[in-house]
Amino acid sequence: MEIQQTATPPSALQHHYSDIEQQHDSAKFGMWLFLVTEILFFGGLFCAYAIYRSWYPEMFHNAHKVLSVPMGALNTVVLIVSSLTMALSIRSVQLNKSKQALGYLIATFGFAAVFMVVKYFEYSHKFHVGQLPGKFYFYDGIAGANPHQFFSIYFAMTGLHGAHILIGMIVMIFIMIKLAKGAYSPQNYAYIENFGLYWHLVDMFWIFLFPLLYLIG
Amino acid sequence: MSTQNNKAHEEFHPHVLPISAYLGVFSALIFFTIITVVVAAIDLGPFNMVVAMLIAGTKALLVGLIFMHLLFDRKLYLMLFLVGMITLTIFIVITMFDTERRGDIFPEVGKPIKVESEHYQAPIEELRAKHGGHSEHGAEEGHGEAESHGDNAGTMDADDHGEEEHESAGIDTGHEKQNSSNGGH
Repeated sequence: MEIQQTATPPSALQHHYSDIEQQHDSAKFGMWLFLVTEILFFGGLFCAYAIYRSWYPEMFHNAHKVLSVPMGALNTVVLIVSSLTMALSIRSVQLNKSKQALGYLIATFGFAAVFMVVKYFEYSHKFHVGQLPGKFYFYDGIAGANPHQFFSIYFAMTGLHGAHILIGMIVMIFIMIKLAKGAYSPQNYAYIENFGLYWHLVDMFWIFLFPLLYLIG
Repeated sequence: MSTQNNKAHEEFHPHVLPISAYLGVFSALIFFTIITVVVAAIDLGPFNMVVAMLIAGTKALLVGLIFMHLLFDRKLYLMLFLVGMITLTIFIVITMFDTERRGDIFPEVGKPIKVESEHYQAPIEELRAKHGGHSEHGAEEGHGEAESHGDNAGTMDADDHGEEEHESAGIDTGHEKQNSSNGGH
């Protein structure tokens, strides 16, 4: 114990862990538990999607055509690129290149912002023409029963996903500040790595949302 | 305790992947995105769904195994991830056993509720015309009529392909709890 604590920077290892690896694994285990709850959190909405799609297949088919595939595809690519830069940012921290990591993280933040801007244009168009959830729906041009149901599900799923992107962007700002201060080292990078796990999971949700909502409705 | 004994003098070395691994996964993800957009434009009937989900699953697997390091980390994390996925699958499948088969045994159970809600005013007129204008209050129908009405409602949920008349009746499905006891007589 005593040897360990002197061997690593005193700030990195908390006193209740026996070594830095145990500390790292504990943080990661906790993060994965949280990610499982996130899977189930989104899972309820995927379940709602499956039920309503099987109840109103033709309405879903007609409704999905009003979504813009180019915009959805653009957002998919943007998120995949942001996932790549996130992974590379963590890799740079592992190699003790904090400056490089900060650059990659800023890029990730930028792509997240692009995603939200594209989403904003999609949303504002839908608000304008009345493709809205539930009783707010006033669009006239989708054949089949209950088209407002499709947009309830669309806004719930993309809205929850967008909220995750926004929260991710806020957390990224804190990580940027810490990176700029050089707070992370190859011995101590669980925080940024766990954020990366979160970011990849949010990307993973979009990988499913894009075909389900935009492509096959 | 074993960790302490075994690794007391070892340093913690992060597992670093070569940059080519990340770029390779990235290229594959972009490639699959293009494929899924192209395939979705071709009409394969129900197989559109199968193909899209297979591609999305492959992409998610790539992200999970490489970007999230599940392939190289402790298998505990992979197990946790799979437990989440399997739980979700069970949840969705069992829910759909219910929602897909409502009204199969007792037609009354598959009957929609909220027929009178504001949002459905226009389609409701069609529904009334079709059923002879008797469905003022769905729950208070006579037994004979309720049976036939229930049959139609049951099919509306389970297999409504091409039944525009029924579909445009457009109703949030669900149950009248009291009705389910009626159905069994």
